[in-house]
Amino acid sequence: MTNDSITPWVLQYRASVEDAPTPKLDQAILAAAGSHLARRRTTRLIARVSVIGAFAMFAISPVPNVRHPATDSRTASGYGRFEGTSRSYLLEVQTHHFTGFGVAEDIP
Amino acid sequence: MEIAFDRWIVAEAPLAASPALPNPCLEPGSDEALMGHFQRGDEAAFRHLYDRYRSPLLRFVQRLVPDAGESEEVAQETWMAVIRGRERYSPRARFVTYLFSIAHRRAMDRWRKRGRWPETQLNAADEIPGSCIHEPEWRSQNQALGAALLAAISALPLLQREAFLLRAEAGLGIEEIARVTGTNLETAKSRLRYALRRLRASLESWK
Repeated sequence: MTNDSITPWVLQYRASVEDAPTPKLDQAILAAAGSHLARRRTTRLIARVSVIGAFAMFAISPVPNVRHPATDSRTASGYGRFEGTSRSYLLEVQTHHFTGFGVAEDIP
Repeated sequence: MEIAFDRWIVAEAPLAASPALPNPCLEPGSDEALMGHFQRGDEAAFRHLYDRYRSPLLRFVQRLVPDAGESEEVAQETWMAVIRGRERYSPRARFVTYLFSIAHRRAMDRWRKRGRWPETQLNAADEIPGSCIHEPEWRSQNQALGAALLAAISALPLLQREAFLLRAEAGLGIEEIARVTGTNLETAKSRLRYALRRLRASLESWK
């Protein structure tokens, strides 16, 4: 069997069949295609807007723009500035004398 | 229209495989290019595709589903599958092969739901109705010949009918018919060969 042997049958078949109008089916399918594409477009639009919005919010947000006061590590803590005061305090400060509470059970 | 059925003896030579097809993706107006446009959101491209294959697909389904009343439903399911699966479509095969593969699966699902497997019809369709085509007044009318041919096609076993319709409606080659129906090349050839043999037998009086 060759392609030539089937060709007359195919031609006769194609000449014999007719197109049956199916307006409802056509409308349903084309509408479905349109709504499907519209949904996809909407989804993509929302995604784009969300991304752009996120970038915009980050850009205008005050958080990254807060100016922290410049700090000098040598002066920031002031460590040692009041060394004399601290030293005198430490020299003068007295430890509390231990009262001996609990040393002996009979002493309240 | 004169159709010369000049090959009435069933040729036993092997079916020729379908000729190599050009790469359809390179053609601007090809189905695959249109599907590509549709994938990118072009609604008009889908409309073109639908206009091209609306009738062939519907006729294919009408002659394949167990109940003719279900044909529009199956056709709609097929197109909806194309719409929903547009992102997944890859032009490795022709679009028409893809489209009719979906229709084939949907039609076979209908048979499964009915609990009747189409293979059971293979033997049941040995008796080809030919009474109407022997009426003398039809002999001179090509319209009658067409009606007889359609009747003979309807009487074909389902899988042979499907093979013939895939060739006639979708223009598929043997390899593509095998791919659509999920069979191997030899099976597809055999189905088409047997279909033609039966058609010749049923239209013998038109020779």
